[in-house]
Amino acid sequence: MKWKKHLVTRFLEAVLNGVSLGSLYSLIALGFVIIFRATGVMNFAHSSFLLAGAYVTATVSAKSGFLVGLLAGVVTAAALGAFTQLVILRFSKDKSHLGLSVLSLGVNILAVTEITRRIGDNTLPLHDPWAASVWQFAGITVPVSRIAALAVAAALLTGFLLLFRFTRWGLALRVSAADREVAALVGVPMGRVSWTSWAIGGAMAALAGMFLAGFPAPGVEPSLTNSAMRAFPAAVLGGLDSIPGALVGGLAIGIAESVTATYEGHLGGFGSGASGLVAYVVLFAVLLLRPDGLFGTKVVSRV
Amino acid sequence: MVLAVENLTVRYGSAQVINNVSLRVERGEILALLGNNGVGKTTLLRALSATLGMHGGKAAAGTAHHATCDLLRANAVAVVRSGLAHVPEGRRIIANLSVEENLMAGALAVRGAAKIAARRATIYSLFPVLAERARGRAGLLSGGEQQMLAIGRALMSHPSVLLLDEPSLGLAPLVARQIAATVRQISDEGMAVLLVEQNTRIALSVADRVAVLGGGRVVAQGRPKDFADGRVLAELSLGGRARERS
Amino acid sequence: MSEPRRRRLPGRGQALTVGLLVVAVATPFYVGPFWLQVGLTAMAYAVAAIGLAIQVGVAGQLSLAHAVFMGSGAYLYSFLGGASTGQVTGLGWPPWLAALGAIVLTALLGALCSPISARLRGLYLGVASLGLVFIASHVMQRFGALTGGPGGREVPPLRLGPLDFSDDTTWVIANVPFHQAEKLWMLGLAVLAGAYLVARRMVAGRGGLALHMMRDSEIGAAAMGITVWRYKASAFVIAAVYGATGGVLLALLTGWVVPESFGFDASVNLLIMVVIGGLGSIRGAIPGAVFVSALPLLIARQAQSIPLISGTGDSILGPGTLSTFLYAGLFIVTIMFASGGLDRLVALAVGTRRPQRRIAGGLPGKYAQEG
Ligand SMILES: Nc1ncnc2c1ncn2[C@@H]1O[C@H](COP(=O)(O)OP(=O)(O)OP(=O)(O)O)[C@@H](O)[C@H]1O
Ligand SMILES: [Mg+2]
Repeated sequence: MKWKKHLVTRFLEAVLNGVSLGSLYSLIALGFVIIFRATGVMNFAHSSFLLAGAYVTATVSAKSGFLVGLLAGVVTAAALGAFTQLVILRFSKDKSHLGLSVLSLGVNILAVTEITRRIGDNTLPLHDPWAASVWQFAGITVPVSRIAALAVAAALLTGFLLLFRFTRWGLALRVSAADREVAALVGVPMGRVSWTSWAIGGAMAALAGMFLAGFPAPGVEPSLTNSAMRAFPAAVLGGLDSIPGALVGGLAIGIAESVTATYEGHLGGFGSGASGLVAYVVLFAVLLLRPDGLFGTKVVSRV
Repeated sequence: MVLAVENLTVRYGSAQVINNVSLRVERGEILALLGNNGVGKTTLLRALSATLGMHGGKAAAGTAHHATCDLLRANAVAVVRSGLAHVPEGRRIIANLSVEENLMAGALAVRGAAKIAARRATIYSLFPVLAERARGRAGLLSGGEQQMLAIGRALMSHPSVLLLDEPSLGLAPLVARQIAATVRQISDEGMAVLLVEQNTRIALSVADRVAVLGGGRVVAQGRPKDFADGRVLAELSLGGRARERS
Repeated sequence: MSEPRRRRLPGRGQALTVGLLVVAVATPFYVGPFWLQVGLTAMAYAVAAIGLAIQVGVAGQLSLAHAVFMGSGAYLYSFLGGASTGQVTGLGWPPWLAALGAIVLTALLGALCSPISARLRGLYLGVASLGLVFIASHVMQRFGALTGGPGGREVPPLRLGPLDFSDDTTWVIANVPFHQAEKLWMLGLAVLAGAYLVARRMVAGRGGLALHMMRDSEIGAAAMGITVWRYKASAFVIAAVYGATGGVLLALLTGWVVPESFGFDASVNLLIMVVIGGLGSIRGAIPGAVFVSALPLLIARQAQSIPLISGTGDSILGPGTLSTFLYAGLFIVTIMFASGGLDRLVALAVGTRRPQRRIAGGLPGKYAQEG
């Protein structure tokens, strides 16, 4: 009887951690989707926004305390996002979506290279208030940082869903995403919608990055960008232009990853580290069945 | 005079589509713009609503003004704020938003919640069927209802000039006539309307003046009664095409 | 409206090509091992980059996984041609068969991608291809018996019949001893020339036209009777073959393969080569590859004389970092202001003008509409 309970709690822990991790992926994916909807660009610089936010959070909070650090990180990432749109993409002669997306990849290379150079071989601690403390509840053990992540992500995601549905900014975004010409005809200030979306995407990535660098992760390292790369499939999985899709995609990938991490030890040598791949395995499986993602709208192109 | 276009020339890359066109539309007047497929009617409207650039086109010469707004220089937001609204070809309502959200999209350039709500009420009284379906998905509306929604969306920004691109497209004659009657009503309340139409019967029945586009030029202008004999138009269209080839 | 006639000076292009070839053939007689290494690395990447230029530039299929094909070629060659030792297994095939096998098997891998690629439009494909990078790096790290794990495995030298490309024998040509690097140089040159000519023919032919049309509009291409999924699959297979060939070359010249050579960064570098070269241009891919692959080597060699950088310490600008800044910067500038890339420079030198092509092509007036 005892071992059975052990199995159950272990599974529950895995799922709970997965939901928390997944809510972070949802946050990243949502920012990615907002940018995609507003500008049609697949933002390959998203992982650099995340890393920049976490890096600034860690360095500033070492001197000025965690909250100031977090604020600085979020603002930096938002500024980086706005900069990418206002200074790089806006002035590109090649305005095709593919060209702009590849351009964002260039921004990513520059930013990640620079931050990696600054971090060097170190791991920067976050100085977050919950540090390595854990919660014990009915035999389940979960890091407090994960609970905090879940709470913050849930609040932010709800907030954004409400913004989308009930504000003019949300409507402007939905109209620009659906039909850019109509958006122009009704007088949506496209420039402003674009750069605010990039800034919001950056800020959300920074918040998620901060939590991803916290316990049980060791701190801010360049490899943090891999987490952002696992959120790309979350966005594509959901259909890329769908807000609920980003949420569901993030959660699905978070849970799948966490459950795999719990059991990958049983898979032998080849299994260790497999949790890092699960995101893409899930993505391939879904895309084979539903090429437009779980919630994506079928795109009808005009020839 | 509300809308004035002088010697306008428009190109897509090296292809010249509009050639030295001049037009005027006054307050409370409907000018019907007729012409063959591909003659450049939509292109002309795009030039006036600052959306030509997103199609790769360019106004190469001439001027276009609405009140004090220089339409060829202003951006799309400024054009809408100046009081010009463009109902695009094919209606282009946003299918997965609700009817009401589509309407409210038309007011995105307008400030003031109370003003917007009052405007919406006016439009619902103009098109009662939209009020009935306000919460439903716009994609589920019939073609005629979608056209009403597209016109309503344009009216949300309180325009004084309305550009209408083929409102009768794909509609049953009865519905098309109904919509034309509404346009007449709007115009009678003071709106200047530039109406692009393929359906010459409807256009001639509601318009105050008519201009025929051929080969990128205005080949004829006049009162609807001047074109009442179908042969006049047929001849003009042929003439336009012949010039296009040369 | 008739365009002004294209200026074309027929002699100049050919003269330049022949001149370059003569210089390239003469190089191993004159330069030392460092420059041979630089040139060989560039050739290996150039072959691979040509494949990517076809896939991304011509067919419009964004791939961030091209290094996977290089890695597949390199590892499969080592596995098929290598001997079994304590740590790794190998099949011990004759090297030419191993090279052929590596390329064919990688082509199969490319074909295996087609169920996914056929369902995705260009941008989605970019993200999906990231998955291939991560899965491949997992395989390279964890399948120790085949790959040697993180430490990598040795690469058997190439022998083609009587021609031995190892250091075991030395050829003497015109009184110059030909060691491994000189011999591989000649091989690399031949392979690159062949790869280039074949690519030009493919792109100029009917298939190339179909790929172009697919890039500009998949639906348009389908309406013209082009079987889109089949051409997408063939773009993948072509990219795989070129990638694997470049990978085998790279493996031969390094003599040892490790997973890092074929990860995300390597894939991104390949994309940079193609973009800097001028997307859609086969011939531009070659200078692009030379630039991106040679830059870190040259900077490392000149490290002492360049301020800001030095060999040690982690917060100091290393040669790798500096060169990344340089080519990433050039990459951004190319897309922003000069999508013709290095190809335009070549065109100026040669005196021919090609119509400039954008990455995705297509009229800006094509808006996707939700239905
Ligand atoms: N984005 C574009 N790029 C290049 N050429 C275009 C573009 N849009 C339209 N054209 C060309 O310009 C000409 C005029 O097109 P336009 O759509 O203005 O015609 P139209 O009079 O509205 O025709 P219809 O009655 O069929 O709607 C056509 O020859 C068309 O092929
Ligand atoms: Mg038209």
